[in-house]
Amino acid sequence: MSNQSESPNPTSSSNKITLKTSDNEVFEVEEAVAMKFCTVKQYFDDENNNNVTSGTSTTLIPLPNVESHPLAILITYCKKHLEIKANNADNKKEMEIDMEHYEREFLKNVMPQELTELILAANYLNFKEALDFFCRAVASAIQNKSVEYVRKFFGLESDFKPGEEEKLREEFAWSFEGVDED
Amino acid sequence: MSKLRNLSSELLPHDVVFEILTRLPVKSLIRFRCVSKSWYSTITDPIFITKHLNLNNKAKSLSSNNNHNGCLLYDCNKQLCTAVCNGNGNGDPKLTLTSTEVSRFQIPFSVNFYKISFCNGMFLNYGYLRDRMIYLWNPSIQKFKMFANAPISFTAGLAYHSKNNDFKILQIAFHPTFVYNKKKAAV
Repeated sequence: MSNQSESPNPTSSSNKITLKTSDNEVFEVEEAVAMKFCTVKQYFDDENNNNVTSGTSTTLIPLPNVESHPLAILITYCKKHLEIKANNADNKKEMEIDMEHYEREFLKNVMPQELTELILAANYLNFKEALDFFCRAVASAIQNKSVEYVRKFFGLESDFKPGEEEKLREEFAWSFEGVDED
Repeated sequence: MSKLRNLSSELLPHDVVFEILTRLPVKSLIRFRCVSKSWYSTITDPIFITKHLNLNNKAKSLSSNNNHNGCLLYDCNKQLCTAVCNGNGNGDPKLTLTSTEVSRFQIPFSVNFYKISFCNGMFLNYGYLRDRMIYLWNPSIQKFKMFANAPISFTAGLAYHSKNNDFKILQIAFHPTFVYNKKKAAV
């Protein structure tokens, strides 16, 4: 995943915001991108309110719960999201089609381990569009899967007493039909 | 998708799991009640169920430019089907009205000549000739409840009571005197 910036976003100002990850990597991003991360926006707003004299260009925002790898991917996703939005400002339908296309391609390049990482990072950054997208992606990946598969997927173990689970399965036996093989 | 198997080195927080679950179809949710006790509690919680319904209603109304031309069709083989009418035939006599089937359900109980009322995915079915039973039916989870005999001549409707997050059956009987009766249904 490359960090190179694409053509400047028409809606953004030239302000840059610097983010520092838990593994001490520094990312300089457009303000429009950083403002999509509500946690960063909040930090930025608080900082501005508390210290009016500090110049925005020097603001460095530490992200102790985010590593550089997922952040780089989220920044790329965010840039693309803003770009698609700007290109189709007057056509919502077109925007949705472009976004769907991009998201499909995006998922082809994401490894399963990355998906959890990305969800945790998007959740910490409170990046709503990405979180919604990843939740949809996980939902569509598991919807036809077995209970056992889902346990593995989420790192869970059954904590039902013997017999309890069987009873639940019997009650809605039809919902266990037509399930994909693990 | 088998590569997804070893996904979890870290557990996802509960609110994220909640969000993922709201995006699953009903059949998957019913199956995933068996994943763990915590999933069971989440999936069967009325707050979750309401959120799931609202999210899916919203998604539907956004995606299909809902122009209220849906209809409910019934055939004699105890099947019920929801459909959308294509075009309205206005002004052009050559234009025939067609419809596209959206979903189809097998009615799991026996009623001849019945009436239907529906609300938030729940159906209220009742016969008005010989069979005077009232059935409250949720096709998504394939479950129904049966209520005692209705009055000989009556009409009924199903309503959602948002304050209690429950459904109410409103029953109006025509004789001997005008009766207004409310029945609470636990669903």
